[in-house]
Amino acid sequence: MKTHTTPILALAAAAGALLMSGCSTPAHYVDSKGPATLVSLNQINIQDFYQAADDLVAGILASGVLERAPAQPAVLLVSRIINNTQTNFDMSLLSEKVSGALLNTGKIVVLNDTDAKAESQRQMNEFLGKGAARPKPYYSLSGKIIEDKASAGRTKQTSYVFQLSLTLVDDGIQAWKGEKTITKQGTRSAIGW
Amino acid sequence: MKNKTTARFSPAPAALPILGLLLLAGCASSVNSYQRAQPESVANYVNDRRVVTDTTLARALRVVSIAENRVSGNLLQITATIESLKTGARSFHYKLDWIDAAGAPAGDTGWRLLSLRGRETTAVTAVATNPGIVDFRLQIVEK
Repeated sequence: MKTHTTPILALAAAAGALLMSGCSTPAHYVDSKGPATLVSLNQINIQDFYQAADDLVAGILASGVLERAPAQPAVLLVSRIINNTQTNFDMSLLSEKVSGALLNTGKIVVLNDTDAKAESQRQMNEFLGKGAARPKPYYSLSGKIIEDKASAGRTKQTSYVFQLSLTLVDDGIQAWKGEKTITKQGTRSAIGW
Repeated sequence: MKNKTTARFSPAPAALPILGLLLLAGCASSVNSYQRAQPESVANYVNDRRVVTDTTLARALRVVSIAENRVSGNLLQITATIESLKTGARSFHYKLDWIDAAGAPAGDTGWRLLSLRGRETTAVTAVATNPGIVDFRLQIVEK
């Protein structure tokens, strides 16, 4: 009896070790836009920002609104994008992707007032009365991210609504509005989608 | 006595696969679609080259057509019309790679989820954000 028990125990221990090593995942890199990324029910994931920004930019470009600016390339000022979700994140995750993609098209230039060196030099030039005048923005980019939560039993559903608009700075008229909704559903967060 | 019990035919296990098939057939539903008999839209279809490495996927999904357009003056827009060939719901991932005039990669859309109901036809579209992009490569995998 004893001779039978020992190999069984050894086998069980080996199987247990194999199972345990199979369950743990060592840290590794994944494609930031790819389907191996995490899906969280309680926050916006990095792939959500990419997808929302791409679709909103495609909407702006397909609308032809940038073609209607009297001077090309038009000057864009990135205004405020409000975070109305329960999680705190840097809004540039969205605004930089959108303004960067628009800048790459060559249809606009982006007015940057966050560069301290450039801003102090501009103020100095203005004081000395030399250099070109600061370009006046034609478009202003603003928006909001809204969260909507619902549940049925143990299943939770969270929708993130990304709203963006391009406004004519001179008269406040909205030249373009777009919305992208991303909805996630499940009982818990998951690896991959 | 013990052997007799083991050899006895039980209809329950035999009925299980049949029941499963019936349930699956009951769950599968396909989309009926209706549209203008003579479409007014005129698409600029791309003469595409197809490389199939997954024949199972090719039997589950068909790229009906790929059309190109220029938006905002000089930016390439690609629209692929995709049809599910199965009666049940299926999910896929797709990605568009952008290629510039020199044949070099110039970014991509990233992988996107495409969920289709049975025999559903849908269109996926993307706009290249660089005027130097002239070509594309659409890649699709089953989830």
